[in-house]
Amino acid sequence: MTDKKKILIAEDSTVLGDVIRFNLQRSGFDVTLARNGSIALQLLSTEKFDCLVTDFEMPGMNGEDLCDHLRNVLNNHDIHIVMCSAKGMELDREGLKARLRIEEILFKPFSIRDLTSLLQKLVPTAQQNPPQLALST
Amino acid sequence: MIAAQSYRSLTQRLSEQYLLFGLAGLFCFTLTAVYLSWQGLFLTFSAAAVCVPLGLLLFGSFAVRRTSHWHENIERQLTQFANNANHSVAELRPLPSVDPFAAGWNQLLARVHEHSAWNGVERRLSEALHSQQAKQWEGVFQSLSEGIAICGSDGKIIQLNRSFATLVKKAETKALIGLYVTDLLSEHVDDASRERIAALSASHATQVVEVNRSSDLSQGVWRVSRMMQSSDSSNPSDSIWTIRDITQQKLAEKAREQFVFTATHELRTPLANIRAYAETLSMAGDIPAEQQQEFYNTINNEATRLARFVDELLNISQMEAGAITINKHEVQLDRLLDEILASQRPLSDEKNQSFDYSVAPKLPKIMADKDKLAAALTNLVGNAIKYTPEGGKVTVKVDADATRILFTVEDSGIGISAEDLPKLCSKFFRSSDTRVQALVGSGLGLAFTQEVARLHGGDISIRSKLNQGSCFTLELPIR
Repeated sequence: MTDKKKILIAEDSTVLGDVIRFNLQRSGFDVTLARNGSIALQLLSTEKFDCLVTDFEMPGMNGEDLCDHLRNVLNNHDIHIVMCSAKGMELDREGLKARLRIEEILFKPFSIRDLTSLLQKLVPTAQQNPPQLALST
Repeated sequence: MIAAQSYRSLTQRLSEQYLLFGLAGLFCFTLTAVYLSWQGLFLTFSAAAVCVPLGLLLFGSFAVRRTSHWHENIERQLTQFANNANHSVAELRPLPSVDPFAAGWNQLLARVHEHSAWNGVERRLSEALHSQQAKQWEGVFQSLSEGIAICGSDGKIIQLNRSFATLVKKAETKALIGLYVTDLLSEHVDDASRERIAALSASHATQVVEVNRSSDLSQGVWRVSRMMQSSDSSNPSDSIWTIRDITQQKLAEKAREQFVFTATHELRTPLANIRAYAETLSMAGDIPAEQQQEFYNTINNEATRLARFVDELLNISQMEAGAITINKHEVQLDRLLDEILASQRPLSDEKNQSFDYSVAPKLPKIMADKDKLAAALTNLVGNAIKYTPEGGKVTVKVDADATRILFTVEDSGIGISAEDLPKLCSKFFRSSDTRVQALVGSGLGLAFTQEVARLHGGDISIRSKLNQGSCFTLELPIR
């Protein structure tokens, strides 16, 4: 299991965070869930993750600030970032992607299947692991 | 009136009189000469030949003088009138005579005097009317809510109204006359707006710009327009500067925009959850039945949340259109309160808040619109939980007396600043406090609650201290 790719999810909605984690774990990723931006940043500064899946709107530190810290303060340029947002056209999608080197910004309601295949493309797992049925934190 | 046939001109009269005197003189002279020659008095004849023509000359001169006396008077008056520009018509005098010429002159003078009297009345009336109109226009100018300043070609203020002075925070309008309008406006706007005003002043065309008093929109936004009196660019003319305060309009636009974003967010979030769980259930056939049930429940809860939000949107749109109505029926308050608490208490428990609920022993039945009252009370309780941090305290109390019922929701939350308090029930208002901004909200909940209270003949009162907590009381009449 050591070759499992590590994914950090920063999502304040437990409902959505749980279901993303459920699906990503079933797809063979090692998933950690952070309830807000500050916790995610703390985890990112102490552990190495292959990919960050973050919500844009979070209380306190939002997704944009989190990515900004990650890229410019922690100087982490290797990690892949996927952002999801309940905002629409008011979000400067292309500008944000270029500035913070975000691979993709998904607008809610997005497809879990699309997210999973995107992550499999970004951080290919060595092998497809058996489903991990765990939903409790 | 002198008949045309009987009227004889001055020349006619003079020549007739001279002819009459001449003929009479000639007749007398001939008679005297014949008589004296018959008597042989040649010397006496010679004396008479000198005296009679002399007498005739003197008498004729007297008669002519007497005939032309009034004409001379008229001639003198007209000469003076013609030679002196300051001579008024009123100084022309009528003649005390029944002589046709004098009568004509008198009548002419009477007509002229009458005419000039009418002229005077007309002039005085017109002046009075003019000054009345000028006063009315001045009143209109001063009462306009827009600030208006009229500037000369050099850009200095010539005239301005009170609104202009008020907008530039000056008490006296007179003190601003002679100042440069651009300097005055520039004192009150931010740097970018100062450049726009300078550009406006440099242009020769009529233009309108929006200027901000500071980067904070609520500090004020003005629409400034400058209109030239003449469109000839080579010849600078007076200009009219108009300022309209459009702060409220801008704030409402911003709030509406913010509301659309918030509403979109509120719709997308439960939809995202429904889609994610439904997709998960359809993708993975091997999920244990218990977990499947949990997923179905989540979908159900999220659909309920979505439906509730759609209801809120409907209420809001009705309120926006001023078309919100209530249907009063007898309401069992205890049952209604149980329903509200059942939906809200779990949210409070999730934040580890202490949630106290106390209710008067016997609540009366009230006449109310159950759904709208439930939505209003849910708003109050929901807000208390939402804006109270983890571990805080929320208290819901229901009291009643003979005529009214009081719902009190108190919390130990973030509180409301004294500055925000009066605006709290305004549509779309959301505090700029970062703790409020971090949470989703439409800024319409309290506006809706207040409207529901008003439609029931009740009211809502708020006490709050920043960082200490808030207390909302909804008061409704029983009948």
